[in-house]
Amino acid sequence: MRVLRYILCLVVLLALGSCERDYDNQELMSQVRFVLELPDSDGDGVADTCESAISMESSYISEYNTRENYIFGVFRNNTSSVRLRKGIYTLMLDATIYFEDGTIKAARNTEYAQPNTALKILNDKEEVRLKMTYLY
Amino acid sequence: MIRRITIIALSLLVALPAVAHRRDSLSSVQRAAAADDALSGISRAAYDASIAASAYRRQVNISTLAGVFDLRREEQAMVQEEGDGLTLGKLRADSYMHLKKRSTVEAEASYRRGVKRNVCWNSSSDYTLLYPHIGADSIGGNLTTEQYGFGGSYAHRGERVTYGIGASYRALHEFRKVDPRPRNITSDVKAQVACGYNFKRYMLGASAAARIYNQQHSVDYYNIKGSNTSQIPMTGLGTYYERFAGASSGFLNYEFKGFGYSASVQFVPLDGNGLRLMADYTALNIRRLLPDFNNTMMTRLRTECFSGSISYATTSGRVRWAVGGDFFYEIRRGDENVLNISSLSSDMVLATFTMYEGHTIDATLTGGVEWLHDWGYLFVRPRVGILNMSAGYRYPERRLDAMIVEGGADIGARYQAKKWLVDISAGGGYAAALSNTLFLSTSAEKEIKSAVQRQWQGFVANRLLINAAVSVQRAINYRTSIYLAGVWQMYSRQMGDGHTLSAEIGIKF
Repeated sequence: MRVLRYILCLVVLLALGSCERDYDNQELMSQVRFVLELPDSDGDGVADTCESAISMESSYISEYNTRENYIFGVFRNNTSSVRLRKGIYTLMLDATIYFEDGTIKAARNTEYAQPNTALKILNDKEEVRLKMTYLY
Repeated sequence: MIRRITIIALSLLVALPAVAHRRDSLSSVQRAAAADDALSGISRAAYDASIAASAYRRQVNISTLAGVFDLRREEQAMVQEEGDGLTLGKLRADSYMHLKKRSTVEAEASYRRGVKRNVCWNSSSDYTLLYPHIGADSIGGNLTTEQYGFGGSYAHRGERVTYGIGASYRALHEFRKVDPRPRNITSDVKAQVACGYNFKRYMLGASAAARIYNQQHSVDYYNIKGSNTSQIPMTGLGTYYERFAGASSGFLNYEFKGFGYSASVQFVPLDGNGLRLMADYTALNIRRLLPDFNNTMMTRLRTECFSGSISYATTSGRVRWAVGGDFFYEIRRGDENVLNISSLSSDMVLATFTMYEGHTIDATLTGGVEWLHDWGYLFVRPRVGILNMSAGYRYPERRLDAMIVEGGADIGARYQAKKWLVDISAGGGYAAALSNTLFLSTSAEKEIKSAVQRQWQGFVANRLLINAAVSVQRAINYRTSIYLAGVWQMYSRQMGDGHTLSAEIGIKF
């Protein structure tokens, strides 16, 4: 009977050791904060602050391996947060910039648009600064 | 080369029993009757788990040389990755012999060739081993399959200690001659060492085994544009690794490389009469490499199995009975690598995440009673089982869950005379899903989503099971007999019926 008890204990231990894991998607996902770096257009030494509307037609965030696409949120005070699956990303941003004085400008970032300049998002939190260029 | 080895192995298997025949006092019909009866299948897992335990599985020597014809036809495939039909011919030779008083040898060689019909969403071989990390295409078609197998073991039964060693090799070649044209070459090697300690009339045994698996998976096209499909590296529940999906060079070849090991303990009676216990742990890791991408690992499948068995059998008296419970728990974890862009670095793997996890629990309780008569026996063999299956893909979220119960029984009889051995049985059962859930995120592609849904509906559909079997064996001399056997099984469910037929002709000696 002692042998039976040992075998039973072994089975129970093996079963306990294999209990289902609850995966935390925190490990898989990254909270990414995009910050717009606008040119100092009026030459006062302070970067412009804005709200922006994103052009859905030409802006994209795409994971290079899974080809999963994400969208930018609205930028307020030059920042926007998006939750992305950790990976390697190509992205492009076309934005319409609304300034407090009522002026409107179009701006673009293509820094990470090509695979050979892709952006690695691998930490739980990331901050990505997007240097914008005014189109007009 | 392998054909020649097969022929030599088959010849050796035929010749080898002559060594053992000098000691056989029983006729071939008596030995065949003693080797297998209606209860021997109940929890034979304890003996099968180890070479040392297997040395006590039978008291008699028996060898078989057989030609087998297998046929399967389904109105809608139960597993579409395995096709909706199979036509297969097989040549098999196996031998179980106590060569000397204390030596037991087992050997098997087989060759089979056939066609799987309408295989879809799978271009890899060994689907049940590799899923969900398979290659797939939406067109599919018939797949020619050819397999060679060899195996052998030796066990020495000492006064107190039994030890054994054995190995097996399997080579599988599957291909299609029209687009898309997969060609998979598989080699699968297993080796085991086992030992046991005898006390009273039982043996307490332990065994350890290792496995090396390799599959070269390649796909070719006569006309890529005309084929209207691409190769898709599946990752679970309809998801796939899109970067390497396509029909162009560099995306069509994978190499599956696996290494596994297992450990098992057994507790078996030396004469087959009494309690049998078995617990086994098996692990297998299979990496999917990209040969055209610097052999970078795209995915890894980690499979762990816990299985156990407990049974009790009596082999004496006018009423023999056996009862057994088998338990099987499998965990599959699919890891995916985040791969770098080759122009950025030579260090390709940036991170690894476990994206797929599946759990399968299968428990079966089987019983059986044989009522012995002068002419043979009658038997009844009821069974009840439960299957719980759950799987999930983390992001985009997909999951499934089902619990299926199955119950049924077989009845039959054996007629045994000096020159004849006739087994006949029939049975039925019913399987019903107590619960089932399938959730696929809205991002799932329409065609793949409908394929997953169709497969799932078929899997959880309630079904009626019917089977019948007959085997007729006649002695042609004292040591040799010829036999003919057939097994027919069918299931009936809402979306169509399925039939399998296995016919076998051979000699036992």
